[in-house]
Amino acid sequence: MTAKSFSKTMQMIVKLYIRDFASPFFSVVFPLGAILLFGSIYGNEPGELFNYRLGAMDVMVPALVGMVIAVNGIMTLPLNLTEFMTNKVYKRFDATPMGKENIIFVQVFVYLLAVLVSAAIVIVVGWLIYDINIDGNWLVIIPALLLSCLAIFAMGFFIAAVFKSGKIAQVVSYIVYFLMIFLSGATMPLEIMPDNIRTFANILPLTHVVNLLQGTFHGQAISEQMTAIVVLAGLSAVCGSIGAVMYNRRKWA
Amino acid sequence: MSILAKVENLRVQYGSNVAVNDISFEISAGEIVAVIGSNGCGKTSAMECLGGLRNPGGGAVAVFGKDPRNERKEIYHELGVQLQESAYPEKIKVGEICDWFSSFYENPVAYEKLLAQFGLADKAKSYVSKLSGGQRQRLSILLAMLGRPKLLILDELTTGLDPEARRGIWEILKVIKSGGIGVLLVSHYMDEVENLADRIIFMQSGKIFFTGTLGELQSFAQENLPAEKWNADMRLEDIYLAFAPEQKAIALGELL
Ligand SMILES: Nc1ncnc2c1ncn2[C@@H]1O[C@H](COP(=O)(O)OP(=O)(O)OP(=O)(O)O)[C@@H](O)[C@H]1O
Ligand SMILES: [Mg+2]
Repeated sequence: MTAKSFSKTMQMIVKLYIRDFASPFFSVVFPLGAILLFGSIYGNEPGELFNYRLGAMDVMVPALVGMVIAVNGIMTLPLNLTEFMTNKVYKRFDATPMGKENIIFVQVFVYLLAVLVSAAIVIVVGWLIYDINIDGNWLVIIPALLLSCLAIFAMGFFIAAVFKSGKIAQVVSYIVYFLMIFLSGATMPLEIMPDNIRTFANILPLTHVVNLLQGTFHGQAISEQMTAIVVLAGLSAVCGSIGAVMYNRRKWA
Repeated sequence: MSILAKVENLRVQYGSNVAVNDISFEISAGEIVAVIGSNGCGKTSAMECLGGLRNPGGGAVAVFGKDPRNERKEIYHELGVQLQESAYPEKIKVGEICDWFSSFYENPVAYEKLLAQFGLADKAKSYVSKLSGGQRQRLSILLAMLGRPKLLILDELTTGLDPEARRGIWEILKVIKSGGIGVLLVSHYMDEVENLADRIIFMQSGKIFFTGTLGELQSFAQENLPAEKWNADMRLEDIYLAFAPEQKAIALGELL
């Protein structure tokens, strides 16, 4: 890959991302709408639910960042990869000096960039309108964000690579996505959920992402984040390596 | 003449189905070689092995002296292909895909000129998914030529094209050939093969049944066809049909 082919490919993948509509909608418009809607209802005064320490928006903004990661990692990533695979788009790129691996690399890069841009928008809007509290250190928050991306993207890649049929991979990614955004605290706080759902939520990777992001945003000690860190690092390793093995076996040719 | 690509004892197998069974051929600079044969006789499978897109089950393939499986990206700097089975992203425009593919090559042809030559100039801003079948086919051929290849592999190049576009592409291929480029094309149109091919590779159920010039095929037909089937002014299509496997006769009445 040359600088020329990298930047042109990036430009095209960004265009495709925007034209896809669902991705930018769920990555930017939806979380912004959620902030404005719930913000107008609950405001950001510290309340009983969060021990009078945090306001609803303080809790919601990092959770929505978790949702943004899920949109791009569990929806956009596997849906687009399997679409290119089933329609034999990758095959066409394999018949050029670029090769499909470089295209996949740029796709992942662009979706990661989409997470960072969307997260920045969500955080800045939350800060401008509701003056959300970010007590945490950015030198901790940013690595936490990147670890979260790594784990969730690895999971999305795993889903795309493990199923032989692209259609099944797509159905699985929808199911995992919707389960996670509703039951992990990414869009609705777990604090309001019944106990059995909270137990179930603990097996969802996104719950750990939300915990980690909320914890680091609010300046909790790293030692309190150990569960989330171990789960996410483990998920990255397991999904990443099995995904890579399955990809190498099938090659998407 | 330098040899651009070489296939030796190539085999391709899908499960127990042997699609390509021990074929060998080569293609040199400045020649057009046409591969003909019935549906399913293994043409596409063989082309995809040449392009490094499919693993041979046996034998050796070399393109520019390199193994296309191991050095695929390198060979594609000088190899252009139009695949029978492949697609472009749904939401991309004609001009964009040309621009995108151009970025893969060091010294690409100005695609605006090619678009005009292929009758697609007014389609540059249309989505690829909105093109007609023939227009998409033209785009595929255009993209195959974008990187100034030394070898062009075209699998069913004029399928779906109108007669004028077909002639246009023949002219382009003749110009390309005179520039020393090798062309390997798969075609079901015998007039096209007669018009373009320096050599013909005639495949039947995974094997090369005949290879040589049109004149040599005519002599081959004279020697090998039963006297009642042969006559002096047989065209390529007649010879093809005389050798093609018999289609099982169906009682046409059953269709009604
Ligand atoms: N991906 C595949 N999996 C299994 N079998 C395949 C696959 N591709 C081709 N085949 C089989 O291999 C044989 C040769 O197919 P191939 O596509 O090479 O034929 P072809 O000569 O290009 O035919 P056509 O003129 O219809 O394009 C056929 O019997 C086909 O059913
Ligand atoms: Mg074919």
